[in-house]
Amino acid sequence: MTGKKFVVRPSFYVFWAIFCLFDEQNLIVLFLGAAVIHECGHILAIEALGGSVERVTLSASGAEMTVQAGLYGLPHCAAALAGPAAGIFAAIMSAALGYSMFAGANLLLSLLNLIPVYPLDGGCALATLTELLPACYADRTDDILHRISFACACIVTAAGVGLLWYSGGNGSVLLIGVFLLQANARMLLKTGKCDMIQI
Amino acid sequence: MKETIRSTFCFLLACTGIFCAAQLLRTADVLSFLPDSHAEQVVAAMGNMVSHSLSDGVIAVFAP
Repeated sequence: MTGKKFVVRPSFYVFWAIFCLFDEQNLIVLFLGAAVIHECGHILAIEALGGSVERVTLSASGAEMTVQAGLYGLPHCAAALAGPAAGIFAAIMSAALGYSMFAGANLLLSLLNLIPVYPLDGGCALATLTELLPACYADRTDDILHRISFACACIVTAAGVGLLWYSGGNGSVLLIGVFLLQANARMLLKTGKCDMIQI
Repeated sequence: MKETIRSTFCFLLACTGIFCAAQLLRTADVLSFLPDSHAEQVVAAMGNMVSHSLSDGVIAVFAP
């Protein structure tokens, strides 16, 4: 294979800088470790299921993997859920070893990714289920999944507004909500319909 | 392969640079106007939840 296997978008550096500026307790180190475990879970699952990671792209929305050999149906769903599963496993192991802060970072990252909203892992896993359905039901299911995804993005945004008001300045959840809303809107504008399948 | 190693090295360098710059600004007390995120409380609460669930589970399994 030729070309870059690891690409970093400028938006990642902007996200990293914002995180560094607001992070007083150096939690970024914990979350970086948790993110590495999460992505390793995806990569191991993709390779084990017969796929091949062609490229990893880092952006403000996280890591996006381009898979060379296509995965469809349940293997695709398993690959999408492998990241959160690896995170939850790491949370249990680190809690057992007494590293409760690292366990918290892993659990938080895993739970966030399990929200059934595009482009998070929960949304992608849910979208892979349409690959199992006959073509006549796929469009209708896509439509329903898009509504679920958009509703979840709205709920996260509303929770973010609530947290901002309650804490008097913590806009982290609101930032995630706005990102999810724009990702859903962009998907709709780009494709004209729901195309949530990616890892 | 060389390209990948080079881009990974640049990425690590840039991230470390941004991290160090933020630490310097914090040390110089330039960032004191930023609100406290209380993120460590959330992370600690989640971690304690896992620890307590684990210890409760162990007690439930091994208790006579």
